[in-house]
Amino acid sequence: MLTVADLSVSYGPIRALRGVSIRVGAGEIVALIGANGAGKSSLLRGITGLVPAAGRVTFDGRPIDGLSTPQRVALGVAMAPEGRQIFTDQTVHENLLLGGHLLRSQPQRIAANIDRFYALFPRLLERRDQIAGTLSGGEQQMLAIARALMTEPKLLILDEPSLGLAPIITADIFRTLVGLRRDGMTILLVEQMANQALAIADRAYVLEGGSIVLEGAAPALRRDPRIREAYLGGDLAHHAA
Amino acid sequence: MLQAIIGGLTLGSVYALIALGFNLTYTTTRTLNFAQGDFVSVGAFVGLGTVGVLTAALGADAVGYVWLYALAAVAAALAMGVLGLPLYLAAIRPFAGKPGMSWVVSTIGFGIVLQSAALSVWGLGARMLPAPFGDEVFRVGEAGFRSQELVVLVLAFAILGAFDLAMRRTAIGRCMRAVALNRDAAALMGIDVPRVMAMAFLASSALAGLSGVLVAPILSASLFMGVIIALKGFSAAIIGGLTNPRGCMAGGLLIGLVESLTALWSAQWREIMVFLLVILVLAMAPNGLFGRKLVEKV
Repeated sequence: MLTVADLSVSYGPIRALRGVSIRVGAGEIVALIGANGAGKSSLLRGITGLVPAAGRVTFDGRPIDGLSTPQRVALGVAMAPEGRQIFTDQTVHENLLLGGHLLRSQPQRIAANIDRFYALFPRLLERRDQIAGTLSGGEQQMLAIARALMTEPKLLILDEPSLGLAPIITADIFRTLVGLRRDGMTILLVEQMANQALAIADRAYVLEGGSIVLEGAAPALRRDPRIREAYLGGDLAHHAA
Repeated sequence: MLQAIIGGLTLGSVYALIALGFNLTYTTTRTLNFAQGDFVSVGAFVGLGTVGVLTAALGADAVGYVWLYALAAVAAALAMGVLGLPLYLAAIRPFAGKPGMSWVVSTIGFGIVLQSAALSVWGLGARMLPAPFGDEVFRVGEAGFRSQELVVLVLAFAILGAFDLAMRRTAIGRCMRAVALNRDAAALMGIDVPRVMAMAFLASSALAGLSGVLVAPILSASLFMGVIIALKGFSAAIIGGLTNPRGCMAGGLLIGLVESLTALWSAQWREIMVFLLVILVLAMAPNGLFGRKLVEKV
């Protein structure tokens, strides 16, 4: 569904991403793992067109690297960005309406979608008319995901959905992602919490210093000693025991 | 006293319109249109021109002057609004979102070009645009005020109210606020961010043009009148908080009141008091009374 070939992103003289190639097949959950500053967010920003990038990005067999971010969103690429970036000065409901921006000529469809995501995240319905900035971290993440889903994507990209959340809430969010995939969604998931990401992913890439250093099936990577040492620490051993 | 308050609120509501324009472009693009004053002046002359052309074409009394004035106001708002687009494309778009303040010079430059072009059409002289309901002075007790003051007050408040409502209740307003808060997140919603920015400049320029036609019957219209109005509007935005549309409106009214109440005591001190107020507010609240700090993500 998504093919990224030789993508590079630079901020001035700093090369954040050095010729990265990844592939996400339809219906897959692909995890992207790496430390802070490894280039994960740069890769996602390059894919969504939020930063200028050199290289090829193909989506659904169609080159999208020349398109603007809204054009990519219209084709079905949605992202819940790092740090959620919800519209904190508007209500939960208004945030969801903004997610329906591209479908604005079809208000019934927007309303139906909103109902669907209120059913998926009942907490958001309870907070419907609350200013989004007053939500808890977990609720904000749910809103960021629901808002991205409002664009009716084929590919949902998530940039560190677990950031700053209690493990129990992260687990909740990840369960939702598995449910979305069951319903046919393709997911590209960036995480520092490698263990949990690998637990729900089919395949994974490991990014280091702006390049892919390792890739493979998620279960295999989970057992890989290099991964355990670098990204899982004692965490995995603890869970396995 | 009452007279000074009405006069102050009248001018203040015009400053509020200009301040709202500054707020619109600042929040969406983090830039300001320093040609705003020239848009006010040229708007007034477009209004004058419209009245002149229509009077010549239709005959002096074909339609009531009230309608001519209304058409002139619409024409000025439209013409200046449309001019806001090349301003955005030429003077803002190349520089918006980039570090540096090149847009300061580029917008001032655009204003100079606009003013020079207008000077070559209309010349240096001041002209009077008649007030739509005449120049009679109404008396309420001790106070006397002109019909135009009420026209300006009512219209400006209606526009400010409509803007406030639109920003809160309409899809376009939601998009504007989304772009103002976070451009990347707005783009991820499929919002065409450059288009929203262009719309902000269109609206802000239209407000300036309309303001020109509103004040022209009170002050006399010259191509230099806009500068001081825009400067006060800018001060209003700074006092109220550039990031807060309601703050900008409040700032405008406050400046108008301070100016006209000071004039009761000493006309020479008007401008001094206004800018003392600016300095005082900035010393105490650097982001204005109702503003907040915008964090620019790089």
